[in-house]
Amino acid sequence: MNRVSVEASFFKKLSAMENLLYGAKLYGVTSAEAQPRIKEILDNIGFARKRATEPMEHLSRGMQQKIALARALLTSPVVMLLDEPTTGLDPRSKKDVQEFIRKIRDAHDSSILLCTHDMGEAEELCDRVGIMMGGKILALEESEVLKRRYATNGRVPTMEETFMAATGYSVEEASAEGD
Amino acid sequence: MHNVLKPRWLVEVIAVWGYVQRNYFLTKRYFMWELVWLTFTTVNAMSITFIGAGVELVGGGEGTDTERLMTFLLVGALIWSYLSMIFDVLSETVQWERWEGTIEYTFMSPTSRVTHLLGMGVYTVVYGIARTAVVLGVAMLAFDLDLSKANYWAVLVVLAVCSISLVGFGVVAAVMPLLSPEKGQQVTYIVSALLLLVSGVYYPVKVLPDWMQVIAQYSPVTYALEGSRAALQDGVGLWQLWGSIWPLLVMGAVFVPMGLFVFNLGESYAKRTGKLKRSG
Repeated sequence: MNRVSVEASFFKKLSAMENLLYGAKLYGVTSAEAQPRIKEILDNIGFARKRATEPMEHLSRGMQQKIALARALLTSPVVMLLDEPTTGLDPRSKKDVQEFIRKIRDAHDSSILLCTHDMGEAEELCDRVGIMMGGKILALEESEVLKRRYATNGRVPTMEETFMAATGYSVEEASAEGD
Repeated sequence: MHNVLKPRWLVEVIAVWGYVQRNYFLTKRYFMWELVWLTFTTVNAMSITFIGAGVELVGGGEGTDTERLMTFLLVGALIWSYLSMIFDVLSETVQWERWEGTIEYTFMSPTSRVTHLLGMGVYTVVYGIARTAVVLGVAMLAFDLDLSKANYWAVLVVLAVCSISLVGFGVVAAVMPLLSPEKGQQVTYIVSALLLLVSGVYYPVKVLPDWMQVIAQYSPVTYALEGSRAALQDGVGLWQLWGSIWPLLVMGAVFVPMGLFVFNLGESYAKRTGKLKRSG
């Protein structure tokens, strides 16, 4: 299993290559095994090879997050846990990272567990969407099936409205509770 | 490619190398700061050595073997800079990863904490010895001290054995930032200061009050200094240093497992209470 969290978790002064080699070794993958894979993955995400020796702090947050995903992929995990991987990214970087996750989903045989507060992202990227509250899974279905379950008067709600309905709060009620 | 095919021990060995290599990469990236630190250590060692040169002039030091006193002080400064570096690096393991923002990634990786701390220890010992050799070289150019009888191999053995017990000591201290993210690191400075006070770094342990001499017996630095001084100043052989080496071996056998046990308890506590990643 490998994971990517909301923060990219890199040594900022080290380069992408150095960070990736370190990450690979923590999972028992040697430099010789990792290097060709790193090149392949970096090519895949459109990361210029000459930038692979630049300190991570020179890269955008979106690119850092893509490198974090690449680091997780290096160890060929059976399960990948993505913990809010796009939180705090600008819209362009967010789209970019989401596109990379989609590619991983299509090209690799890892099961991906994506945790997010972004309902649109869940709907777009996930085969099945689960809604959790208080540590309990309230629903777990394909997004279309899940939305139809909460349809009223023939109108299929958005994923956000589905979330509100499943958790028992409307937007207004949730706002009032916050106050 | 799948590391699941590798035996567990090999995965751990690769990870030890990963930590060593990462620290090497970091040293390279912070090279200018390393130079600053090396300059500070060298200047510090020279200042302390000059105290010996000034004793006679200050008065009351007539009849003092100045050269021997200077060598005594220089060896103290060198050995302390090496041993305190090991202690500091190990005790700052948690704080450092917190500052870099990598603690969660490192601590959630599948390799054991023994592997993590071993990797930190191996790099620090090798790097520390190289740094100490450079400072010694500069000091020898600056001072006309006689180390012609020095038994360098014996010093290396004493320092290597002492490093093991100090790694254990450092690991115990490293638990402090896990227990208290706000002030834990400061406690490790107190431990470091206490070691400096009682271990006879710049004066013989015998000048200390009796109760401090009792504490000195439990400091690995005391035995490392005794052994190193005997080997460097008097050229004493390895077998004759057994009196300094066996207490270090015993301390290593006690402090390392104790350090790992305490650290594991602290890590579990920090993970359970959400203090692992918190930096304030």
